[in-house]
Amino acid sequence: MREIYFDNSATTKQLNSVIRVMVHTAEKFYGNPSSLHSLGYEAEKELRRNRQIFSDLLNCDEKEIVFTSGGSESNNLALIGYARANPRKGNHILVTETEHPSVLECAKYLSDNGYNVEYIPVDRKGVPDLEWIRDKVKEKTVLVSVHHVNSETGSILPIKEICKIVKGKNGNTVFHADCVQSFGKLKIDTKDLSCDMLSISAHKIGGPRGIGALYVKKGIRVEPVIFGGGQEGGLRSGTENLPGIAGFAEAASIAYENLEEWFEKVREIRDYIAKELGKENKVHVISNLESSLPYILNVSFEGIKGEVLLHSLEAKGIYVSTGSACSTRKNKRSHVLTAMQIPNNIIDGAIRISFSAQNTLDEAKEAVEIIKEEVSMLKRTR
Amino acid sequence: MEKVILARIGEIALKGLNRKNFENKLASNMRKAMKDCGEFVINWSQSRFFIEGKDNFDIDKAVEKLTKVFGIVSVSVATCVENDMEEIKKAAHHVVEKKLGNEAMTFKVEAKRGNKSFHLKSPEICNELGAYVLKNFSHSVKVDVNNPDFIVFVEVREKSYVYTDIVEGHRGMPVGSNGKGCLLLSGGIDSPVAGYMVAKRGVELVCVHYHSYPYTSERAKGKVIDLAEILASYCGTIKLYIVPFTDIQLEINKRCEQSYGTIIMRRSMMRLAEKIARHTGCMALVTGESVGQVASQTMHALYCTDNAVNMPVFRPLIGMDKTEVIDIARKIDTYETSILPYEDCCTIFTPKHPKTRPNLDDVLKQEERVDFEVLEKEAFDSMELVVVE
Repeated sequence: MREIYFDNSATTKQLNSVIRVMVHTAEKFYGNPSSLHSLGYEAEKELRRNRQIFSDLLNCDEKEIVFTSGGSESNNLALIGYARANPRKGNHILVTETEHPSVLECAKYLSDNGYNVEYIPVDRKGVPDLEWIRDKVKEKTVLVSVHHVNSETGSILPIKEICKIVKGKNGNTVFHADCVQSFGKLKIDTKDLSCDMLSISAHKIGGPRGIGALYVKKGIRVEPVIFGGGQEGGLRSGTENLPGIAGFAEAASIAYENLEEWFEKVREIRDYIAKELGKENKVHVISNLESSLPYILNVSFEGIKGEVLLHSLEAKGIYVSTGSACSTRKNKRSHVLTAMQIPNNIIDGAIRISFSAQNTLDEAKEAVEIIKEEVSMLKRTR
Repeated sequence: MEKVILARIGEIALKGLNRKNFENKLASNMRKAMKDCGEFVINWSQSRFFIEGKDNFDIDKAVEKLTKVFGIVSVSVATCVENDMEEIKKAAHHVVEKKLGNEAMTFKVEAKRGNKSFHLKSPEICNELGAYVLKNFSHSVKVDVNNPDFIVFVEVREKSYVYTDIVEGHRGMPVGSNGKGCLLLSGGIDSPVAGYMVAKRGVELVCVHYHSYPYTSERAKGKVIDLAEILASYCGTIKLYIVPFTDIQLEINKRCEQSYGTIIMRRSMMRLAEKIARHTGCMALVTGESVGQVASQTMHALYCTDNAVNMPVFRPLIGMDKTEVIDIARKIDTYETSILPYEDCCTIFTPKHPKTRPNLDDVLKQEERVDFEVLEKEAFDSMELVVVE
């Protein structure tokens, strides 16, 4: 049967070359990088070689890269780790309303433990109010965490500008950027952004699950969340996942090599779908096409439940997702779309179509026809 | 010393001339339940079943399985010896040693002399064995005949059985001893409990689930299969029929008045279940309805649903409230699965204001707008069978 995978922001299919690199690494470098013998040393050198790939891509020092088990752990290490290491610097934290749960739940944990957490509001495009931030950063503000690209809508947030505003108000405030949805899709330069911490993940760009990294700028004190043998400069204990790291490095290298080309390709696919569906009656394109990342398209079909459409598309071999769990139960609607003040009846009809460079325009054309058919079929039933 | 499982039966022991049928059924159900536990032999006499395992027999697993077989009141792992007082003492020594922890404990001995040819009477066995245990474990045990921490049980039959622990079973009657019933299994909390209660009375279950893809997801279907699996751990293999129901719902939604939608849908479900029941040799339908719980379960609504079929409808939860049902669901381990959020996720077909007092004549008139005969035949012909073990 046909299989059109349009759920790439949930996770991507691993690239063939990534699988090959991982198998090769597992076969050849099976020693523990911490072991004293030569097999361990070989593994250590391989680890270092891969770490350098990341420090080159992100324009930082290799000592500033901490490998983790993925985006969620990176975000936990950034928020919880920084707060724990700097208990006396202040107790005020700012995060965007539309962050990923791994940031929001950490913020909530810190709020339960004596921190004053405030949530930065966003506008209809999902972009924070910069003046609000300028106004809120105070002497007591220890940490500001803002995501680069929103996972439900593709909205790009001006993290460089926000970082500049934050630092302008309080030079001691630390800035963390969750770049899980943007890494490998937009150029990210830690020096250019001048941020202090930055989270990335492998499986959103054709790499394996279970591996990610946190950039921690030299001089920023962070306490580990996982304790043990002291790997990753003491910040992340546990025997290094070398095949995962090598697969991540491969995926990242390929993504960077093809960054512009893939961006254009995906933009063409996204624009086609948005344009065609946008012509239909009662269809709302929620993602802002000018200012959002083309890898993610959020569209709402008013009068239909997103989840029902998802299942009827799945029956035709097209895989998408909903940001919200469809339900009549309250408070289950997407926190992102709610924060963007999208009306409830439009949130209920929203689906997220997310792409990778492996998708084609032909798939997009086929998908548009099927979506139109399914939507009109579902509308007839009402 | 040989280990044997003792299983006690309740109600079956009271049966008359047909008692044999019940016992054979129970033994067969026990064999099925223990099929992955290794080799064993089952014997029975009076109100006891004895399971003797071979070398590869996993006795702990077998006990766990047996406590879920309906018809068994309780189970004990006993040490089995010849009818000889010295042997019995050795066995008692063994079980007491296993029972004792670091703390001192109180105990008593209870003896049953089923075999009247044994030279000591029950109180004499108690006396002698109590003295023996007290002497041999003088630092760690004391006698307390009123409220002991544990009891050393001795049963003198063809052989002697010594044990300390009794594990409660689910009681009831052996599944299959009381015909077949067709359970409407939704995926909620109530219907698995209803199925459990009827199966406990010896009724073999055939289950029916209505699937409304894409309005309910594949996960909702997987969840119902999971629930059927839990039920099957009590009542053996279950046939689960999954009936595609989307077209019927769409037609009802299109042609009938919204407020009658639910009651008409339920009638259609009952008719289809009856069809499946007749097809599989069931003589009753089983539902998880409880009077007054929701709009479709008021007295008036139940009157209308009952009218759709010509077969008894068993509703074992009819007089229970939700917390009572939840207590049973927790006990039988279906609760955690039932509350997974897939079912009812899309309540697209639920009317805002359903009729709580539907009138049968009005319902029948509404029903004429849909060609149920054709639709239900189609649904019946395309249903899927999942055999759940």
